[in-house]
Amino acid sequence: MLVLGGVAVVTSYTSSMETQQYRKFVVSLILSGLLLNAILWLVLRARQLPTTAYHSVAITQVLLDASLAAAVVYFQGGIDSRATVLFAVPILCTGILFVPVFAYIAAALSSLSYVGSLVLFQQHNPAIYPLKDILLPAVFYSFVFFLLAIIVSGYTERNKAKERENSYTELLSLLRHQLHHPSGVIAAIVEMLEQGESFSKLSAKEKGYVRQLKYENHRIHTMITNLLKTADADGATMNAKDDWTDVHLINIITECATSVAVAYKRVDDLDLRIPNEDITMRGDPDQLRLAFENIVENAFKYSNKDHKVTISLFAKRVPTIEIDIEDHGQGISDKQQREILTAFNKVETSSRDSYEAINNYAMGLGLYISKMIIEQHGGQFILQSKLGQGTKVIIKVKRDMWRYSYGQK
Amino acid sequence: MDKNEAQILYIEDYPVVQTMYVDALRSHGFTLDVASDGKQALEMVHTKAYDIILLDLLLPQVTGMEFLREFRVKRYSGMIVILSDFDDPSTVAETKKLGVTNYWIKVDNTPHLLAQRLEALMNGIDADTQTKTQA
Repeated sequence: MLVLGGVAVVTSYTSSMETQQYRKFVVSLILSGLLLNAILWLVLRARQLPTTAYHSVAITQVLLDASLAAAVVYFQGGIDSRATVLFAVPILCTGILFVPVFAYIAAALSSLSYVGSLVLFQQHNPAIYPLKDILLPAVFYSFVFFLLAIIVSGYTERNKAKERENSYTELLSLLRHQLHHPSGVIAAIVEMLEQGESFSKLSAKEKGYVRQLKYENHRIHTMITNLLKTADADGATMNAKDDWTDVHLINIITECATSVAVAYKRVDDLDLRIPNEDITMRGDPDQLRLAFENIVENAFKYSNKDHKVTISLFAKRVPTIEIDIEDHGQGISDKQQREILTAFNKVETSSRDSYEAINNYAMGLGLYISKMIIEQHGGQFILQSKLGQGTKVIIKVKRDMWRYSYGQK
Repeated sequence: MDKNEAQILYIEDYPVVQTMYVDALRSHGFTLDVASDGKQALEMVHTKAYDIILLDLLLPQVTGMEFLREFRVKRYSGMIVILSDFDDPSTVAETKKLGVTNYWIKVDNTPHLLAQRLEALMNGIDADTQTKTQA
């Protein structure tokens, strides 16, 4: 961007300008524009702004660049083709925004302001150019701007896809690490116990417990490996549909809810509102179990004793099944919600703060995994939360219509 | 290489894990220095010549990867063994590119198993090393 700005300054110097004053004016205009751009981008970089703020800052920048270019053309007597290079700046700038459509918006803006400034200039100086003389450059440069936009947006699209793919691979790698880490520690502890001096003094029953611990840990490890092994870079094959079976939702939800409530010693707080019928959907039972368990656990973990956790299932509106999991706990702030649902795209494993970052991300990981699983099953995951009031997760999945219509096969 | 004389540096930040592996390795007759983060490890490798560096990847201050990049592996004649929970091929490949001789996953290398494997590695009979020297 700075290089382009430099080109623009040089171009303005060499192009036909009438007085020294104009030259000074143009140069200071461009330099102040560049300075503003730099400040905008520094602010953007320094603060992790939400996407909307990021976009509005970007749009402001594009607008600023386009109007700057228009001012230059107007004041220096615009038909000079070298001045049009200024209009390319906002279009090219959009390349770093990772929003392909911005290139077209910038092109439209550039064309508009270019033609506008030409017409304005012609109106004020009818003696220099007749109106028909500016028609050709207006059409020609508008065409060039859009061509440039096509190239820039194509390039951006490719970069964006690549970045998405990379961040997904990174996320998977982190996920595997976070999930494997505890089982690695447990395996080491069990081995140390077995090799320790006092192990021989344990009773047969106690030795059996240690063996069981080792076995269960191995099972967890295998389960995690299986869960993640089909996941590859594009994410589309994370859930192999070949393995899908009929999932009895009522059973799974009841089991998950009860086991979590027992684990948190809050069976009385569990408010289960489910219809008394067999409701099935097609899917991977292990993954769906994991998805529900994560959400229910979150509800119990972040709410206090004697506050109800309500789990309701609505299946009246065929073919959608809605499952609501609601707690009255501490709630999740808007910032955290965004982090849970989107910020995983921005995990940087190579950064120095990655150690803390990974630990923070691990907190929200449960809900993120649940969201991924539900979406892989063609469902919807909606997170509603207010700080201090509680959290409600709404899941909408499709009912297995075959089974619903024709009963047991 | 004799295991009593070999200079080993073990880098691990998680206290529980560190204690267990250090205890096990010492009980098998190894002598070793311990670092709890990458920065400390970098200082140590520049003051003493080690035969084997046992390195975790997820470390505070300076990560394992950064350690490998900053520590000039090419001038180092000893072995670097990664002991990590990361098991994805791209991480393994990247460490090999940075001069790592062996990549071991923690869950498959519990403390006493690691000690045995390390002994085998010193005697030049570890499968992982053999493939490396062939390549």
